[in-house]
Amino acid sequence: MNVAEKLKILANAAKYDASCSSSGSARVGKDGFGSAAMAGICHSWSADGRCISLLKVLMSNSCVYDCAYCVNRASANPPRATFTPEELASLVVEFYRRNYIEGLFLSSGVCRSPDYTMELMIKTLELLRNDYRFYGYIHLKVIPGASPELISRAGLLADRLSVNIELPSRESLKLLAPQKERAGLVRPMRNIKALKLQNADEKKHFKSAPTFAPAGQTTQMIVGATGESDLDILRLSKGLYSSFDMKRVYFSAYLPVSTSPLLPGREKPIELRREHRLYQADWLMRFYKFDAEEILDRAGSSNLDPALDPKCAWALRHPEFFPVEVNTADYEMLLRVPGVGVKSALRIVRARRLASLGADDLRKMGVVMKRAQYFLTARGKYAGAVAPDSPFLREMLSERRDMAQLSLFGDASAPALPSGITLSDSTALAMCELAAPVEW
Amino acid sequence: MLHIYDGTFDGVLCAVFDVFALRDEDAEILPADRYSGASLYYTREVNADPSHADRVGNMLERFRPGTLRRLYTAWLSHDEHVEEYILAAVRCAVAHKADPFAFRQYHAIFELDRLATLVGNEAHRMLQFVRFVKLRSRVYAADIRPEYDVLPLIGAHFHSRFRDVAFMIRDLTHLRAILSNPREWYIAPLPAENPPLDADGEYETLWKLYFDNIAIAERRNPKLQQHFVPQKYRSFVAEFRDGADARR
Repeated sequence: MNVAEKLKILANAAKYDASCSSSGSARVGKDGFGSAAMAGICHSWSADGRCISLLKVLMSNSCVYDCAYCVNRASANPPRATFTPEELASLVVEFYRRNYIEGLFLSSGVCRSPDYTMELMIKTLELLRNDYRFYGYIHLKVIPGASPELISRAGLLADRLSVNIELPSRESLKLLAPQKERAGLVRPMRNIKALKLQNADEKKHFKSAPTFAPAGQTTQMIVGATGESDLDILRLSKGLYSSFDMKRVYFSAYLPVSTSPLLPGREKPIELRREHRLYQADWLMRFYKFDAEEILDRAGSSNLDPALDPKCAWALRHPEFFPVEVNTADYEMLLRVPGVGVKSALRIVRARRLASLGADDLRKMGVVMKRAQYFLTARGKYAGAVAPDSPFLREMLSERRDMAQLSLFGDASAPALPSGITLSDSTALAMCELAAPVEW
Repeated sequence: MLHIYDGTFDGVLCAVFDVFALRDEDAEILPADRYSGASLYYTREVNADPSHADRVGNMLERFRPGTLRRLYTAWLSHDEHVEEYILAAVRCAVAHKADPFAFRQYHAIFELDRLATLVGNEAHRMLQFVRFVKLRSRVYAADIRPEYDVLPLIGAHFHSRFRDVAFMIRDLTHLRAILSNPREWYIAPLPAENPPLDADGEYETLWKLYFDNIAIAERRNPKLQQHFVPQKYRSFVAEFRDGADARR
């Protein structure tokens, strides 16, 4: 089998991995070539609108596991292929030299055993780093069950490591991936966190010590294959962020890739909007200082409102905080105003030191008054047509136009929803703009 | 007074310096190539002294590192009002002893920041969309057609990334090119006619194969794709050049 055929099979098998981010690392080297940009750089966007930053392929799509939701499960019959480390390393280098990619995202099916697969992947990374003197970005998916020694070696070669949590609950995992156990997926995450702490300590004593996974670790889960609520999912991601210092938790809307009776059938539309709302909620937790329990409180629904972005929904549930006076409110409160984003909140805080701001000034700060008008006052003036606690406000802020597109979901020409498959932090800003058109 | 500068960024900073030194309340700054030779103003040529430019630059950097680069980025737009905005920004910085970009409520600052964003965003797009082909001479070459003159903003990135080879990036809009070798990089003018680069054979084909296979068909979303890769750039991005849809 030639490289082109392998590339076709192994790219197809890797496309369901959500992450393609190349951010978080500023690797440089004197010899060799390549570099990593802290904010990450996307190089292209495929027909589904997801960014292509890294060459995202599997080492092998052979797998000993039989997870119901996976295209590469042992009982399925796709064409199988395995790269040799030499083939893959040379492909990465040639693509990189032409500025097609920022580096490599390497994952794999479990070929023979977790350790055997990890060895093969590490061999590829060693070729790139040591023989080619390649300093580009490498994201390595850790194979659950691989020995801690291999994880430790991998972390010194890669910029980012990740282990997929796969499904939002222990029970779902048991049902759909009976050979995997939650504990087995969490163990490598714990290993990575411990190794990173240990490495940080070593670096205090030896400045030249190589950094272990400088861009940290991430994880991903499938949403919509099983019955968990959005609140369950947000609580889980909050736990993942705090317990394992995750850089990102990715969500991937379930796509029917098998006919297993345990899974929703093909007639169920892909829940792109739900994925989008979850990413908005994730942004609120990471950049807007919201807590999972605030975004969805116990009293209300345990699922995000498809018609309303989660920040608006929170503001509508809490009219007691509004309107906020922009000239005196603290930064944290400004961040909670719908229509005010991180950038515009920072601009307001800087600009108001000079002179008090009126509604026109706010527009120049990038505030989207369409939404913000109902939740703030500028120099004491309230510009909204109705009060923050008005029963009509929900209707006025709903994304009705987009809701109409919901009916097109089955259609291949589906609506312009961000896939949420990000990206770098700079593109994260761009995504954020899409994720919440109000923000700036 | 109308201050005519030599068309360089240092020149515009010198012009600003002169405006302050002469206490010129009613100043206008123009590059020599936009000066028609006739003006009702009293006209003078700016004294190009690098130390003057440094003094203006250092003053701005003291308030907030990065301000000078942002000013430079905005200046690269060569917008017809950019000198006016730059002068207003420096006046604002001096008056408030603060980073001028903090005061977006002022029209001139808002416009200057907007220009810097336009140029800066396009420069970032070039980091994304430059596509090299490997020539027979083992030199890597790429063509781009940006709207703004972004070469000065992207040279350092590519030079440090591909530090072990020689490469060239031709800007066919402004007829200038980045030339880089392991020792240094610089920008040189191009002739009016430039022969097209050859296609890159094997690896370009493999890349297109990858590009077509990494998309999830069920999530097809051309509108989102277009948001990130506007039509105006597609003519020089290998995987879009001959119509990604045509290959499907």
